[in-house]
Amino acid sequence: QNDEMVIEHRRPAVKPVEDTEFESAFEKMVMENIAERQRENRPQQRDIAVPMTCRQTTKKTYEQLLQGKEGVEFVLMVRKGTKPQYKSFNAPPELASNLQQQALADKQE
Amino acid sequence: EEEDEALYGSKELPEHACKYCGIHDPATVVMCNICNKWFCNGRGNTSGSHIINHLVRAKHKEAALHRDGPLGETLLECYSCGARNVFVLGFIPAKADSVVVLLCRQPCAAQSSLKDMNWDQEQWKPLISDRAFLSWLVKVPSETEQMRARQVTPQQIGRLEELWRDNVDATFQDLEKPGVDEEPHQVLLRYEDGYQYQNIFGPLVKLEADYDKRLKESQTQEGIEVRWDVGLNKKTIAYFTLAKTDSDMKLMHGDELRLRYVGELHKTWSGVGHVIKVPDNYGDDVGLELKSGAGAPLECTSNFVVDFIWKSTSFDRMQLALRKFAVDDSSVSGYIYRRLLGHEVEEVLFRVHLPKHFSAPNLPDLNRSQVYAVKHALQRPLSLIQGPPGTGKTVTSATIVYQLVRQSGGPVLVCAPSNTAVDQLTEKIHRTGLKVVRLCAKSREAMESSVSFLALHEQARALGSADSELRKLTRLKEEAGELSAADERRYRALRRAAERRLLDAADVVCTTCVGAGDPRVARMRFQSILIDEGMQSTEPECMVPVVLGARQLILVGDHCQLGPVVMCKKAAKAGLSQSLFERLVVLGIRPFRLEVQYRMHPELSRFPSDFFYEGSLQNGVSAEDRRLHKIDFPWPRPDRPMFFYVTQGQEEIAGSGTSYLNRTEAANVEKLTTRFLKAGVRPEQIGIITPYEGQRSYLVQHMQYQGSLHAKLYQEIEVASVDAFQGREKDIIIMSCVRSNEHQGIGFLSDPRRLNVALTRAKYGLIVVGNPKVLSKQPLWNHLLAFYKERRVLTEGPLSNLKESAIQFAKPKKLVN
Ligand SMILES: [Zn+2]
Ligand SMILES: [Zn+2]
Ligand SMILES: [Zn+2]
Repeated sequence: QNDEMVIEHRRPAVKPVEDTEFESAFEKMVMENIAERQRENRPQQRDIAVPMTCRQTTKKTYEQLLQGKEGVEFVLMVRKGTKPQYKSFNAPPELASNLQQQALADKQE
Repeated sequence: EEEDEALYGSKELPEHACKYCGIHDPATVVMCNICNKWFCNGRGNTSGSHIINHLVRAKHKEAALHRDGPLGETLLECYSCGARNVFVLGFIPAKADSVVVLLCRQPCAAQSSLKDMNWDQEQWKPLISDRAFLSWLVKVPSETEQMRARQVTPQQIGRLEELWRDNVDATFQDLEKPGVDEEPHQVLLRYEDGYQYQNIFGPLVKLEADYDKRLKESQTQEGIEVRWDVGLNKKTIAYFTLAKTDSDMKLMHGDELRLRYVGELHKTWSGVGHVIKVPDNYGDDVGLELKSGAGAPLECTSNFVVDFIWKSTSFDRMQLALRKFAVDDSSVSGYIYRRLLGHEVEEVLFRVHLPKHFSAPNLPDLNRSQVYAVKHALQRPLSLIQGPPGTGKTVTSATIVYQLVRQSGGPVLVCAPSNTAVDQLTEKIHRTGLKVVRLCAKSREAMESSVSFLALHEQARALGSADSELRKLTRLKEEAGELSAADERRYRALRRAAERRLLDAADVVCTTCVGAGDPRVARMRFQSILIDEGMQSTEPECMVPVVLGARQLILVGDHCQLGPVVMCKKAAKAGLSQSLFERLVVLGIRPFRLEVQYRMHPELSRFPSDFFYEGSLQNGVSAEDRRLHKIDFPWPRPDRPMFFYVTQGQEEIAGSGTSYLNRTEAANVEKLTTRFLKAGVRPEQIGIITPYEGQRSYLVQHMQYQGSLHAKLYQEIEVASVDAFQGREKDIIIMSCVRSNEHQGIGFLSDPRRLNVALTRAKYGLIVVGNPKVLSKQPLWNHLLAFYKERRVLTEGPLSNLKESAIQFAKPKKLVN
């Protein structure tokens, strides 16, 4: 019943060594993996076209975008093996804001 | 709620529950695609989400979403190329549609054709941000949910990950079991007897061995493409590129790897070989010389697997030495036994007939402190010689060895932890005219070095040419590659006999510390033993040569430079990373210090001398000797070839989210380097020191692509860690501190010994590139910066117009750890 309990900050004031070590391990991992990709041979690439099939739903009006306070429905393109897959998800406002500006610009034209 | 609690506490959790905290809402969990364990995207009490904690600590890189989550079952991979490494994956939105696509940063998100396809390329963002997955991809469990879940500390996470390396099915409950987390005994200063000594060091060696084994065995790589070649010695060589999975593990010449074919074009095959080429500035390929090329699928190029082979040899030898020290009275003299254990013993001097001239033939004449060092060593059963950088340690050691042989007739055993150091000593001792044998590990026999001709196997071969049967078999073996079983046996027996004759006749045997455990040497007895770079080997490593009969032991080293590398943190913490040299100094045995340095420009030696050697270092070279003639370089003070180049490169968020790169520092290093090259300095005269592997590879790339001179010039410049430069020198050193942020590990910069090594590599000029605002918080660096300021070489601005910097330093903090 007390789902709204007050959250105290439980994080210790001084970061434990394990945390600091983890953080630098993380940085190192990211940097190395990116540097690594840069050196690797170019992998086989495929075309990336915005799918026509779901264009109807993904093209949104400026108004539609503004309405989505809680988020806007977006489509995520992934690939399963060779098959493209389209998965809709609720995008956070910051993802939509980009599109908003674009739509606004279009509208004003 | 009570139900909930019961659920988290029991083992009834669903399979997809976070292995750390038990949270199991499908929308909040991710599966590690490598070990099939699930973790949540909440961070609990740690600074990264649980899944990221796992991926980083286990070095796993692929992940999949739950089928009941908002996106359904999804393996995260690049839409374009299929790359699954979540650390390089991100997404870009379409310009006008509410569509996003998963793409890797390089090369897919960077390809130019994207623009034409209505994608907003500039908007690429990583999937991992602030050390958690983006919340629209994987929900972050609510604070309430996290409160109710099991509270795990970063320490527990670390231990659990460690447990998984031994047992993939270990659970959180296993952490509480007795024995799992027992700390090893700390090393002591003094020991009752050899048994106690063995009982303390034995388990530490075991810990390190286990760690090493786990590390090597977890490095198997699949999907390897191979290019075949044949070496001059007619052996089959496979060239391939390894994905760098773990930079803790550096591939070295002589390492053993197994190559396997798992494709369908040839029957399964596997072969073992030695590494003859490692990745370097020129290329990332590894060269593996197969022991036997028979049956290798030379027509196949893909579908290979590479395994790392762990060898227990060196650890076994250390254990054996510890045991011998404990049980075998003849392993060392009673005096040395007691001194090494730290017992009170009165110092004794040998009554020796000291030579009139201390210098050895064909070696440089000794200076006063070097002469005293030789005298000091000859007169004592146990002596420590401290050789600060550039003080002629190797020549002094070689002279001691020469005089020892003159006195006792030999044989003298000479060891050092690294092959490079052994080779250097071997070369110097050989010059004095003594009969020297250099013993190499079998796996290194094929490797070229300046003293190859002194190697036991080479000398045995030369000797073999006098023995007609051995000569015949050797030629047969070299031509055919292999011998019949009977011939092989005969060949080995003859060779062994030849090697034995050589060893028995030698004045001096040189080998690495671990090499002294080789059965060919271990059967011998050595009264006098000299160990160089003594501070760089662990105690058990040092004991391998010591127990071969030491009556007179000379340790040469410098406890103000880097210590031995111990990879297992537990063992290091328990004291395995302290060298014997260091312990003996703590016990009160005064090292004899060499005091005249012949390497650095006097201005360069000033700080190290004052700060690390109580001002005792004198200069054997003058400023004039160390002037770079005809090199036009804008030193801020022409009489001081050094400066601190203030570079306040804001740590920049790299494409990966929270990762930062010090591009500004890299750019400055490139400018300095280019300036030197343009002024006529040769690439091999320059060394670039940078602490982290990440910055190292970035710098190598950056200089080759962005530098204004030919890429080849930059390729020839050595860019490496401080540790790689220990024991060596360069004319010019440029050091990039990288650190621009307080959160980054302080290990590198806070260790005074590492700083000492870094500052003492350069002969003619030294430039430190870094951010004084951050560095000055460290007491050690605060001193260094104050020194540069006082010498008026703390500078900023473009190279063409360097000016003294008025930057304010931070107050130094107390050192942690
Ligand atoms: Zn995993
Ligand atoms: Zn969790
Ligand atoms: Zn890609």
